Amino acid sequence: MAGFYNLDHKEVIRIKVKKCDGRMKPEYKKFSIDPQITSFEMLQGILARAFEINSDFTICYLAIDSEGQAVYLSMLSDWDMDAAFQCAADPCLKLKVDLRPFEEELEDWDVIAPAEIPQHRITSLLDKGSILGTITGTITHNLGKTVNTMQRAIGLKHADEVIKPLKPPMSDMEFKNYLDSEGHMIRPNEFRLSVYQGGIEPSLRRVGWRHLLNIFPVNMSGQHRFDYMKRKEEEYRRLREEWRERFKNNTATEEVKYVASMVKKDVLRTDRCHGFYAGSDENENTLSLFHILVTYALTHPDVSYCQGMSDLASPLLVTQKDEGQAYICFCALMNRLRSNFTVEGNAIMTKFKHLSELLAMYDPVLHSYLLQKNAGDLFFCYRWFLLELKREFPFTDALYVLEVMWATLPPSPPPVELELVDADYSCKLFSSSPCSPTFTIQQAMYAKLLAMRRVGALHLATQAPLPIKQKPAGGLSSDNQVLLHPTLISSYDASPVDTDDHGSDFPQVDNPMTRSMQMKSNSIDQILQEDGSLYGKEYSTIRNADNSSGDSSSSDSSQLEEGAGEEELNRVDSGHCSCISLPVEECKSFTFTNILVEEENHERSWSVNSVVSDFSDPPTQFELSLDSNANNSTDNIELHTIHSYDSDKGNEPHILEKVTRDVGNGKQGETTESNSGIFQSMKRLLSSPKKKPTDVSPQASPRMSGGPLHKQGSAPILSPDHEMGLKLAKNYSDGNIADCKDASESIEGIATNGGGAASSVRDPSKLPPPQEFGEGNPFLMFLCLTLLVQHRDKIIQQGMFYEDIAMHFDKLVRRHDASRALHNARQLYTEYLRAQQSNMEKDKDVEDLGFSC
Amino acid sequence: MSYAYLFKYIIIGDTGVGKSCLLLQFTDKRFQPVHDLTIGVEFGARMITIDGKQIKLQIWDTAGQESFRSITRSYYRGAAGALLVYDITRRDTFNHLTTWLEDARQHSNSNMVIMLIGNKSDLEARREVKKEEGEAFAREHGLIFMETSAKTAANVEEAFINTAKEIYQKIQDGVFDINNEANGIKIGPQHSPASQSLNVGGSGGNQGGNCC
Repeated sequence: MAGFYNLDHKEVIRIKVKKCDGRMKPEYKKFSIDPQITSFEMLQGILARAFEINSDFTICYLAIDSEGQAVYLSMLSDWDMDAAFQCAADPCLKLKVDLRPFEEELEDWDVIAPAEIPQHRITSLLDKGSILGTITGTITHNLGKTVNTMQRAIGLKHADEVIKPLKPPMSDMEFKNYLDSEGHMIRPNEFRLSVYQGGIEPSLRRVGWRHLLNIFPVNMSGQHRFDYMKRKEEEYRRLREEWRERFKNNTATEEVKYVASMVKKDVLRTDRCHGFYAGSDENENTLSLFHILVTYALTHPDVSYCQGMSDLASPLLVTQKDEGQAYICFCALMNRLRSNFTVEGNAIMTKFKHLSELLAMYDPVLHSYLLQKNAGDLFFCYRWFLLELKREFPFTDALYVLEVMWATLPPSPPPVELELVDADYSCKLFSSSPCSPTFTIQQAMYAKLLAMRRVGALHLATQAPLPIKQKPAGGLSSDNQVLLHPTLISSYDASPVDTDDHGSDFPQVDNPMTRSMQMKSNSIDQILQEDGSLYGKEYSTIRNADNSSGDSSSSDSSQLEEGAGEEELNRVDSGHCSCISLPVEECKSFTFTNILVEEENHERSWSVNSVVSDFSDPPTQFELSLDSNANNSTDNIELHTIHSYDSDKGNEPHILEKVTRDVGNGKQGETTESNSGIFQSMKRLLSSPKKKPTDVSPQASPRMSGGPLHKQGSAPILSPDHEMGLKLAKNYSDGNIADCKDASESIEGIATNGGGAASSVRDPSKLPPPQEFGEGNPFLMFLCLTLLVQHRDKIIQQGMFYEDIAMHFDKLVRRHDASRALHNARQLYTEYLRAQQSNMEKDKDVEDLGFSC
Repeated sequence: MSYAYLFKYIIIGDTGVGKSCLLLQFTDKRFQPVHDLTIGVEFGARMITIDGKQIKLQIWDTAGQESFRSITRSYYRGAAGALLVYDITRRDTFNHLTTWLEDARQHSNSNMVIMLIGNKSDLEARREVKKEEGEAFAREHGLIFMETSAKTAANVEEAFINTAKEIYQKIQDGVFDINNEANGIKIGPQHSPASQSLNVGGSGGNQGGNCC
């Protein structure tokens, strides 16, 4: 115990606990304590509460003896505990709690010789039966408590309630548990579950987001992903150069120029307060954002560019720190979100409708108030939907919110690979039609919303509509005008401008310093200016002083930039290597199923019980948690107060201990397979409720076929990827709570008891199913609900009208409290999923419910 | 705070001309050099006094992008006043005025007061549109005209208040039907519909007052 004397005081000790209780399967929990203030007695108390142990129990800790063997040593005193802290707590202390005085299960912890794995891969140590064991062990125990815990989770307000994170953000150590030794993502659902619960550490976001955003096809090893990214980046560069060439050759169509000028205006005011985009308009990152958006608009003519996209792309670039990689992510994100920008806006309309339903269910008082004030359509939430709340939270918090929300979405990897262009790209780009059809399409959506608004507007419609001032018969219809707009621009473009002589108005500034700065800046203006007609003469005369270096510099610097990007990618991904995989389809179900089902037993029973286990633990168990994210919502969990659920103490009902189990069990193969199977079943259930999950329908079998393959390939993670681990570990500080802490000041709206009647109405099972709710993003709906309800009292008490409400929320841009919103939304979401699940259970034959434990 | 009237304004114009900045300068008396681009419609409100009467201006700040133009249209009809903004440093924004104006005229009520605003007057060095051009355009189309700077606040108050004065004048002249909220004018809560007379005192009851 040499370490014992090297008293390097740790500030925090992370502890993983395995509880054994006779023939019951072990339970796992994870928490952190402060070694300076924790006595052995306190530790005992924590453990007793955590596992709800009423009887005597013994504590052992896992240590490595002098021969490198893992042994359990008894912990009987403060002395033992200190010894354990000193010598066995890196990276975390593994405890075993045994309800019987004698232990017999050492091998459970010892499947893999510790010498073979680095310490941080502790999870590999865990018994491969742990999931099964945990579940079967706790099902009976927990089932009876479901209702209680749900109520506790959702229905109550406690003055002393403190929002705690479900778990620390995902570290790269943890992340590697979801990969096999060659970097295959073998546990995508557990990965998502973990992100859902705690987000991702900033240093891991770059990689984590790529998975969340579904840019990789399944079955990719780390090496494959690396190659894939490189190839895709190359493809992006080609696409980008196509239009940049046009500017250089002055062959850009009016549309291209129009799009570029639009995008330019917007990137210059997108997140400029964030350090990444701060400074002058020549900021390279702003330029990258410009490139991404223009390239996307031109290669996706049906979507083109629409305001709001820059807000969506910005966090991706911040996170990826590389233009090409951010573009790839953006394409993937837009695959899901493009419907917000296109066609008739049905996607957005549906979201309004669903949010309204949700509000009516959870806060009928507020809902009817809004109706009465003619704000029932909730159109002031338009930005929330369009940007998926990105702008509602402080930037860093928004990253967290985004990833948590993405994690609730079902994995949907591209079937072959991610397309960087629309199918109709090439033909459309080359046609030099002066006007983009997309603009007229796009406008239809919001017009529709507002038409509705207008029709229903109390304050506008007290009388018959005013006669509209008529245009002369020859006047253009409004739509025509829009269509013509780009044409108009083109006529301005014909104003006397030429790129050739724009330098003559200003002396050419040419010294090495300036040149290199110019080379670096490679400004947007320069690109646009290459075709001087875009801005007209004044533009060039005004700007060219800064941008006189011309075409060559832009290509030069882009080369530099690309090279750097590659190198960076290399660094990040080189740790991965080859091949195993998941069957594509299997992961395609909502992570919500994961949230519910991930602990599911292998007998295919459904997961009410797993929910139970989520909520089964006394809230005190994490009191000393490292993550005691001192949250400022101490006094009011608004949603709670609205509902008159009657229950006892409610604290964060979620799932820290469950995560521990997830992460802790090393049996990826079976786990994934079983999860996949469950997801499979879940999916089929969702689509055809009458079917039993056991029925393997013909169309399902191909997916199932992936199971054995996967199982085969995903033998325990025996040889972790040291290189990557080390690399990532470098800039990673274990146990950090990352970015979710600096939530903005608590917002004052305190719901008191406006919705006492709500509980009778509230039945989330009546909401649309997850794949439909919120147009496939139910969690967004719950987040929006929490934001609304947090301000209900203010809205009602001040008698706000539509405009007042809209103004109120406009003022809260970037000021909402992310932790609090997520906390509430998670609770509601869990309740919703649970209700949805029991819906399905009702629908299917009930005999399957016999939990075979 | 109660008000005698509420006027609805709409701010329109190309993207990036400073619509939101004008609004912010007017309502909050501050300038934000980099303002988030407006998604959909945002709102602002401020109380002003004209002729001893409290008038609440409720301002609808619209997104300038073409693709949102239809939104803007939907809002025209409920507006008593419009600020049509261009950027004196970007001629294209001036050139688009015709389109905007046609749009506004077509979709608004005929009495809507339109103020033409050449914004960014602080950027004299980068001026692309002469003040005279703006004046000429305004004259030609029957608009009020001002050059403003949301940055220095020059003329910002005046732009909003002069528009309100014009509207107020029209009310007094009986041009506006103030009972029709679709005109963008609302009588304050304490002013019962029965006593719509313009002579109603400015500060009566206090019920339902919902100032910004």
